Amino acid sequence: MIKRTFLSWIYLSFLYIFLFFPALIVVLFSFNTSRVWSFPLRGITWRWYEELLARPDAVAAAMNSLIVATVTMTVSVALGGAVAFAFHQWRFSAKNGVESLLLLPLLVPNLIWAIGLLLLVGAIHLPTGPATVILGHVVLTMPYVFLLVRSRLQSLDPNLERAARGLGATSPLIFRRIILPHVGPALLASALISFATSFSELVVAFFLTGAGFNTLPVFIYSLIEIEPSPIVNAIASIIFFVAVTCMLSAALIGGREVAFTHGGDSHDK
Amino acid sequence: MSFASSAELMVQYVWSLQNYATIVSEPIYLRLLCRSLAIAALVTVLAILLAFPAAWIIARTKPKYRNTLLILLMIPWWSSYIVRAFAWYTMFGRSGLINRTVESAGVTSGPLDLFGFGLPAVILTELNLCLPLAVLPIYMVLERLDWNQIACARSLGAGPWRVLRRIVLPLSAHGIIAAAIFVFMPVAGTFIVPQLVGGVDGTMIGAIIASQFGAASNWALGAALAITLLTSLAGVLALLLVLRNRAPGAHA
Repeated sequence: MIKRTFLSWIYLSFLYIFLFFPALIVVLFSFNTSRVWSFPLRGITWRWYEELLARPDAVAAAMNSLIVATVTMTVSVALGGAVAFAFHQWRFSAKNGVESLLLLPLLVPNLIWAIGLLLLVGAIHLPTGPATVILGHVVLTMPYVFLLVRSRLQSLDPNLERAARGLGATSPLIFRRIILPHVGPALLASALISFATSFSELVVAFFLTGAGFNTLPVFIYSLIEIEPSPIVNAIASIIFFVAVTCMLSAALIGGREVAFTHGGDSHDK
Repeated sequence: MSFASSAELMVQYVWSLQNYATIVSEPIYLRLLCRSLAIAALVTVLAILLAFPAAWIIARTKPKYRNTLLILLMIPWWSSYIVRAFAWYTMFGRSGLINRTVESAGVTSGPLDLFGFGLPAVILTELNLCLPLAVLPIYMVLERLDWNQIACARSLGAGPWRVLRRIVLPLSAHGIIAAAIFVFMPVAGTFIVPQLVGGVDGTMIGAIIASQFGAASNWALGAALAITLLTSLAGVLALLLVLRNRAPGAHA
């Protein structure tokens, strides 16, 4: 029995090493002095991060990513939260249809999704740029907000609301004092997920950025094709830490459900 | 949405089935589509084979360790897709990390084709990217499994393989199929990975579709290809969902 436990731990360790290997490699080589990716490592340096900061296009892309992610987060949480709240509060006939429509982006590969949006945007003659990227990211992240907030609302004891009403509380007061505190963690967690997803998402952004506007993932994707260097490692490490920090905090705040919601860029392929 | 919009775009030229005719008449497109579906199927099978034991082990550990193990499993998944794809890009290739390291260690004199860009690189990369998503749904059914049933069967003399085949697999079938959906769908539509590590023989339909909107600049054909891919994916999804509804655990 002990032998079997031992074997299963070895298996699991190998699997985790395999999973963590890429991220480890990226971060490791962002600090390596040599320009080429090769072991043994030469020495530790901040050079690639410094070169990165000295590049105006990289800094601009980072700022764009921050703005896009922040706006996406705000819009997604507002819209997704509102829809989840509407589902909780009212019964309406189109519920199932709306629900499957909202969850559709989780199943369709991002490439097809991105192309659909691109064609739609082209058909109504909307120029691609920050607004279209935000649109695409809102569509991608809203399902997470909706799912998390709705499942949190479902766990709200309806008697609380009834009791408050019986004691004379108005609807806005009930919303502020009972519903909002209850869904607070879910809202915060889904905000973090939306931010992380938007900040690290490549495919939708790649098709919807348009000329002269780049987010960080799109920027490094073009950098890989034009001039691959450890600068890409530096940017990738930054994206990695931002995304993982957001998602970890989301998991700590929102609990188990968050861990099972795939943030990052789930269907990014 | 992509139906409406692709039609919308084609209206601008003429309403025609020209692009679909191209897809059917040029064998390269259909061949690429089948290849991509086959690659996705292979990755799916490998991912499930690797994921099942892992999910099993996690489900059998003490509850206090489970959440830690699950979070650890998800961290690579949460890190950006492009970050992980780039990592594999630096590892493969004639002057990639693996070849250079092997060379500088003096094991071989020249670069090994084994670690060049190509189909094996695509499969390994995709497997690495999708594995967490295969483990989760399987873990979720194993977690709720009635272990007494297994102990019971064992004490009645059933061997481990028999228990696996007659009890564990049927009861976890719907989790396994969910894992298959989560892995198959995105892998079939991938375009970044084949573009970065695919080389010549690792091209997939997604890369061709993406190029129609970039270098090749044939949006209508790209849209028609995307619809073709979407339709075949919907077919696979429907098939898997039918299987899932037939699985005994589906209504539990």
